[in-house]
Amino acid sequence: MTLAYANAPLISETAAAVFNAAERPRLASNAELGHLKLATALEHWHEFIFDHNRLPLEGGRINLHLQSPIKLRLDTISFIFEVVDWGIKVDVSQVAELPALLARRFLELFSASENDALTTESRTAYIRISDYINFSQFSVDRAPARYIEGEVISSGKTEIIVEWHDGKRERLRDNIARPLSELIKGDRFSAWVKLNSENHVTNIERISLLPPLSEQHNIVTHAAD
Amino acid sequence: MLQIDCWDVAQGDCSVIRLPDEKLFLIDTGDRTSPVVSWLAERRARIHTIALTHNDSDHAGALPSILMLPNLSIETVRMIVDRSHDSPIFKKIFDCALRQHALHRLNLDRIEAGAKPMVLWESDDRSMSIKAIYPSFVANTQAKNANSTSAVIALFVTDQILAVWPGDAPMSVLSALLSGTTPTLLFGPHHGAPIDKKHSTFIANSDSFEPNHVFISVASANPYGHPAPEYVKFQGNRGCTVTCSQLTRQCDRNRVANKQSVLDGSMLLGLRAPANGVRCRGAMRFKLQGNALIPDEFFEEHRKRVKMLQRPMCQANEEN
Repeated sequence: MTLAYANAPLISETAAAVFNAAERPRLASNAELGHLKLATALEHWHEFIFDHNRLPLEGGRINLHLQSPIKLRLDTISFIFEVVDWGIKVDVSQVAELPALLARRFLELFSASENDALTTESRTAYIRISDYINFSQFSVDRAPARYIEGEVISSGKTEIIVEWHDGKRERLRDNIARPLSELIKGDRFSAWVKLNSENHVTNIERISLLPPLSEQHNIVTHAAD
Repeated sequence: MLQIDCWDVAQGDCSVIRLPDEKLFLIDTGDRTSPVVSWLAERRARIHTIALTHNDSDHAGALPSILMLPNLSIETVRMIVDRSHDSPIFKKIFDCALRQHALHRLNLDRIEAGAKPMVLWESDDRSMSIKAIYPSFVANTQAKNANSTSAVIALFVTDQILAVWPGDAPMSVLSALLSGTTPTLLFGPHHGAPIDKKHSTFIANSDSFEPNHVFISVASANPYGHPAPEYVKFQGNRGCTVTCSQLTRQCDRNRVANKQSVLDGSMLLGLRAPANGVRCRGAMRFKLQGNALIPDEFFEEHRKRVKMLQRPMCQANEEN
């Protein structure tokens, strides 16, 4: 995954863009507006869109999904790429490192936020970066399996319907249902499950059969007595 | 320092209070898919109490998932008996807790305020406490349904109420308990749509106490029309800051359709986000400084961004 990433073209027509950049004409819109000073400054810059919408994390085990395209600005004099809003500058020769640098920048700020250690400056940067990140997807991808209890409502060859402990029913099929193949209708069980971004179960493991529902609820009703 | 994290758990409620001794106090857990489970799974936390305002699945559904996390030590689970023992959901959600209780791994206890509030936690110097102020045994047994007997839990600092978690309790109950007070923070109630919002006394009841901030935990795609515009606008018009965890179509149809968050507080605070929904504020944090609860550093940025929505209900006072 990582290798494939490194070999893939990172930026649309990167090489051509870099080497032709100095010969590009001045931006017409700026010249027409008479913003000569601005135009002079702008002619040294060219903007590109980062061509990927996900960044590999943890060696490619999970991805950081981007919900807005990242803009890159190339200084055609110094040949330095600046990642707009991310506070990252990188020499054009190191542009292949960009996915790793972006992922590292996110991890730096995310870890600081987890430890309540964001500075005023990093907080401002983190707000800007947060607009690019699909954090829901990151939360789902990073989440470990969770404990859950259920009851088999019906059991077929390729499909099992279970009712989870909160009363919601789910139809599990094929590979997802296979770990429950030994269970029969009416069995109560516990398991550790992974959920996807639709909150559907995608993986079931560590299954145990549970005893019939406890008759000990009097403990709850009389615990304070 | 005491800190309150108001979680975005989509359509449900969950707050995590970090106590001065670093133990956690949870009020509600969110539903079975609650992101708080993943967050807790990544730390070695000691939980003083998990208090459930009531036993609907959007408030208590993640309880078994939390109880079975191997890295946590949980001292007490406190709950309301708000429905028949034979209710299958009641049995299924709490069966795990009952088994853990039978194995002496945690205490399981009822929430029941008597003539005095029930103390759920108290600081060593007794200057801070978390108390259940409702329901009493009588109120619980006479309640018409689970929502009306929802526990009302409050954070007291030097005998003043700073934060109130009413679960899904009706405004008439809150009015009776809180009349004349000015709590800094009020949750909901009932995801911003109090169950007695159509009652003739609703406005008078709502007017009887003045929260500074209302945090509404609500899902973008909830089928109930939460939060109620009249409630959000009422609180906004009287100068209260209303913050919703997720953006609903009532405030900005296009942004919800395009899944454009306003601000992702869950990410900014280093928490976890639910799988579904479009963030308006996401999670929000309050810190106790002196005797005051102060909102987090992202508060102003969110207020600034909310003004750019199509019809932000919480900005009603500025439109008028």
